[in-house]
Amino acid sequence: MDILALIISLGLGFGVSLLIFSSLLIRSNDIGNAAGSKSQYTFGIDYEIRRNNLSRGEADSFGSGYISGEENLPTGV
Amino acid sequence: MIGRCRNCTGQLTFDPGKQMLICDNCGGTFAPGDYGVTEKELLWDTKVESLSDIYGLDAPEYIDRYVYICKSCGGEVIINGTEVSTRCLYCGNTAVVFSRITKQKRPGYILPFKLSADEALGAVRERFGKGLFIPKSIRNFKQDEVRGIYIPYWIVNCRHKGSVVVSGSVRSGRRTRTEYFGRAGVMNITGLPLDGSRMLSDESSSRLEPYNLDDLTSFSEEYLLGFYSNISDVTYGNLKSAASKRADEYFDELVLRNVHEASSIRIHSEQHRTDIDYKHLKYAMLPAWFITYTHNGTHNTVVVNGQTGKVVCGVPWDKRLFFLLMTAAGLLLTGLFFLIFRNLLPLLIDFNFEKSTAAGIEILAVIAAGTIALFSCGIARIRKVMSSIDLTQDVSIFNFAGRRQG
Repeated sequence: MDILALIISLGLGFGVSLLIFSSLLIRSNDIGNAAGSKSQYTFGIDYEIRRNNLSRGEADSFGSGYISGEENLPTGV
Repeated sequence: MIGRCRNCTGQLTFDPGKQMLICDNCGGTFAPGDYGVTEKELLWDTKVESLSDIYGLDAPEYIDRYVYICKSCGGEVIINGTEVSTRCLYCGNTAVVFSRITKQKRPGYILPFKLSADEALGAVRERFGKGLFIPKSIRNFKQDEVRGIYIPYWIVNCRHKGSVVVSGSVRSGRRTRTEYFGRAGVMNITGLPLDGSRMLSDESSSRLEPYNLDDLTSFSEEYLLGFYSNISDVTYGNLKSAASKRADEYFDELVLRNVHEASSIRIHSEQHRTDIDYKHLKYAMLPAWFITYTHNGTHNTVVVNGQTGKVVCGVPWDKRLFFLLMTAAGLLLTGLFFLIFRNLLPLLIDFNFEKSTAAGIEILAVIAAGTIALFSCGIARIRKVMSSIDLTQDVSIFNFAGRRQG
């Protein structure tokens, strides 16, 4: 019983420690890692179709035909 | 002559603090934009010639190098294919390649530097001082180069249509089942800045955001005095793929936030289309300071938003300190958990199998899954830091800032 308790404790102890110190490492050494926030550039999505509880088949065919057409890029660079 | 003081012909430099042109010699101040267009037009015909054409040098390092004659001293200024302003190696004055910003290629707007080189360096040192795992040698780093560079950006408006299916887990009683949620709609994006330089990675430039674009002003060459700058070299195709990438991410994030009925949600399938409003594209130059330092023989390039002072970089970490503290905390937590589980386990599991142990085994399975999740999350975070460090030590960003004259 003690051995099982020790194995679990080691896993959780070092797991929690790794999580805490990796979070501190991000704060400390990954400086300014966030790109521009979407809230600066968009007010959100105007939903035209919103469906819950889709079956797998419905999920696979959802939105087909909603996105269509090819955009023509302007000529030149 | 543009770039020269009208009182004493001394070199003018744009002062971010005063937002004025200052004469290095007599201290005279001038408002940017004081010089007439006709004065600039005289310089539009000054040609830039390829280095390999002039000297017959065919080595790969000379392919994208050009020669421009400094208007102050007549010295040869070596520039790359997209540089608009640089420093003359001989007289130290700013050389503006006017032929590269004629009417056709001219940026419409510029966001002048608000931060001076000293302020940018101060912001980096202050931020480094707060880093627990930043080695002392880096906290007291000695900069190799500090360069203020105007990066070409396209400010884009676009309309994004998306159709996304989200899958997620829904509990019913003791069972969990997967459900699917469909969302389709339109999202308008306004004022999205996209870096127009192929030399600089989108990942590096997007981290410099946000820029306050309300401060954009009409482009004038005088703002370039004292700084380096490049013109855009991306195609409409590059621009569209960069806009699509950002719009897809934003759309997916918003859809995931819109599904409240399930847990462990993820994107099951998605279709996107982004249409850029090409008629209202804005071409602007946005400011950034590039500070390079060397650590253990490797070049590191720290980038600072020239308007807001946001510092962007991944800093090499003190591995010894990190693993020492993590191990100490790990042992402490192990001791605490051991005290808890030594008393708790006999209540959860009966090893003589006389009582039912289903609930106990289930709890153990949850603990095991939780432990795996803790390790995965921790390792993912360390990898994220390492990828930021890779970006800071990337040759392309070092070349973008470093392969300039002066």
